[in-house]
Amino acid sequence: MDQQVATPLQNLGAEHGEVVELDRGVWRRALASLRRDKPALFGAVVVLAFVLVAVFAPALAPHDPAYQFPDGLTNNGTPLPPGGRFLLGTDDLGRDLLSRLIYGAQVSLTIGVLANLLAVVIGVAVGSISAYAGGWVDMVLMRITDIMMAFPVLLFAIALIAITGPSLTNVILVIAILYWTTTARVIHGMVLSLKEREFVEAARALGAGGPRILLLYILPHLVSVIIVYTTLGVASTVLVEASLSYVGISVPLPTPTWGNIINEAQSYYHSDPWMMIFPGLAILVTVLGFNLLGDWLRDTLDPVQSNAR
Amino acid sequence: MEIAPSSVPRGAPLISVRDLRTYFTIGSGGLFGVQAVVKAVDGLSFDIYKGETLGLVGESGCGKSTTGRTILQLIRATSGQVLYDGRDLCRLGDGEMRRMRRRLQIIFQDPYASLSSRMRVETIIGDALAIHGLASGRERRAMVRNLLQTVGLDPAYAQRYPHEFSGGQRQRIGIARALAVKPEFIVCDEPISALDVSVRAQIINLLEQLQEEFGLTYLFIAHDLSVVRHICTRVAVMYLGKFMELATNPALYDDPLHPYTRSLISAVPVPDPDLEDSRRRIILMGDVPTPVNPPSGCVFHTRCPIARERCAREVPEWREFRPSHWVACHYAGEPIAQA
Repeated sequence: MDQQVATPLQNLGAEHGEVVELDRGVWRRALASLRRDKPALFGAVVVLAFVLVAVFAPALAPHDPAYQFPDGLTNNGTPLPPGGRFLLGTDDLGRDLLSRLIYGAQVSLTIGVLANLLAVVIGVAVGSISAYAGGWVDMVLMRITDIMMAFPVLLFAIALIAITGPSLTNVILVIAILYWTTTARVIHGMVLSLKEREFVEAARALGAGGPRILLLYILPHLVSVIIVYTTLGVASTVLVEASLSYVGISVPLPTPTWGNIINEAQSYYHSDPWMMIFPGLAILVTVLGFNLLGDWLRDTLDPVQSNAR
Repeated sequence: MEIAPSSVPRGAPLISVRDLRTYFTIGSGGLFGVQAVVKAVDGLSFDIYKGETLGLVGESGCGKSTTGRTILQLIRATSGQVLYDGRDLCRLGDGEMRRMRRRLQIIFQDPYASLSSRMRVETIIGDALAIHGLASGRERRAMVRNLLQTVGLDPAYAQRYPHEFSGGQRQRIGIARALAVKPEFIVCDEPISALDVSVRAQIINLLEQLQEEFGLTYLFIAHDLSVVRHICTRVAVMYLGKFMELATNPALYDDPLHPYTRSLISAVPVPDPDLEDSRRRIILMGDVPTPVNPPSGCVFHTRCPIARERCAREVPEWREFRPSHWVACHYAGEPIAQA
């Protein structure tokens, strides 16, 4: 490459005025690879759709999710199957299922993303600080991480929410508190190896202190991993929230969530299985989509990362 | 080849090293908890004077890099003193030592590993200024551009990332980084070993220019004796964690006293083919012993062409055999018989 020819002391590379736009090429190649990888493409589309649906719920929902239509039930009082005004049918109180699912996406997205973000922040903080500090700090923090990982998450979540009361904030906090450990472990391993690298020693030689080195020198090398684990993490947190709302301790009714719709649908499984199938499908597709996207991100970002650049 | 002017040191030294030792324990200890100890730096005592370039040569693994890093406290010494500006660096706390780093810097051997691939050149160099609160904002950017020019790089390169540069250019960035805080003393840890041969001379010339322009003092660690001969005013020869000899440049090359030094010098090729053919090489037998279990007495005795019974028993004293010429050998200066 032109720019890398060694030239004499004065004014290297003056004639090469242009700055190499290496970064743009990387994006273009990444998008091309995404288009080729069909499962990953599916994942990306699903994630995008999920976000759009959640964000534009009020505009997209055909009906008010809380309105109980007088003609929303069959003669027996069971939910209507899909068709006609109610594209996906109704629920046990005559409310439009599609609208409820759309608003349910909003809840899942909010909780899934926020809880996950918080979990990642905690995980990165714990993992990197313990790895860099070493010594007893490392030992203590890692023991705490191990202990947290040993807990049966769902049971613990149920207990915590039972104590603090079901609300949007509490659910987010509880999920975050239980899910930071995976990220912490991964980041811990990475920082352990990163802190031995020569550019970290160079930073110390300049006089940089611990916090500065972690934030300015080490953290940038963790970004790809953080992106991957955030994406994959959303899949987990959406699933957890669905589980929690299935047992009735997530955000309280009447706010629709995919989990509590399934809960309500249990009794009507024989007369109207659709009420259960659609939210289940929604959860399945969403979780799958995030997983696929996360996998693709990991494959794409890894070679860049392990390029030893 | 140009030889640096000899400088018989005068005045008080800038840095005084006294009985410096850096030992590393390795292994888990096995059944009885006994761990192996690597004596990387094993009792060094020497001075570094202001304005000089002290060369530190030796084979790979002899402890020269560790010495440089220990002086700068990047590796904590096991015992001994490093006196600078009336203070013992080994006794300084972390915070105080960080402040000291303004005046003591280092240039690393590997220009690829010593720069973070995720930082722009501007941050790599500018952070030094930020850490010590020397400049901020526009002033800092201007200083960084200035530094780039000083080391022979286009100031426009400040926005680029390390991977966009060649090895020689990256080493210049590393030099600019070390210069940013206007240090007094720089440890040059094999600064050209990782570079293409064609680029090495440029970097050496740059280092010499900078020394003259900024009044720098260098500890120049290398294994290439001919480079050391060119740039260094005094040279120390190291083997298995100990100094074998320390003398001014001409004295070391013209009249080496230690058999190890003499074998090293005899290994340096001479450009004149006739001279090269006719001269005699001193070839050492055997391999370098492991630093975990160094030989008794004089550490060099297992490979020394003039070793005698006393050498295996008694550690030779590090003494000033002639003015400004230190040796650790029982039979310093004795002729080496033809092999």
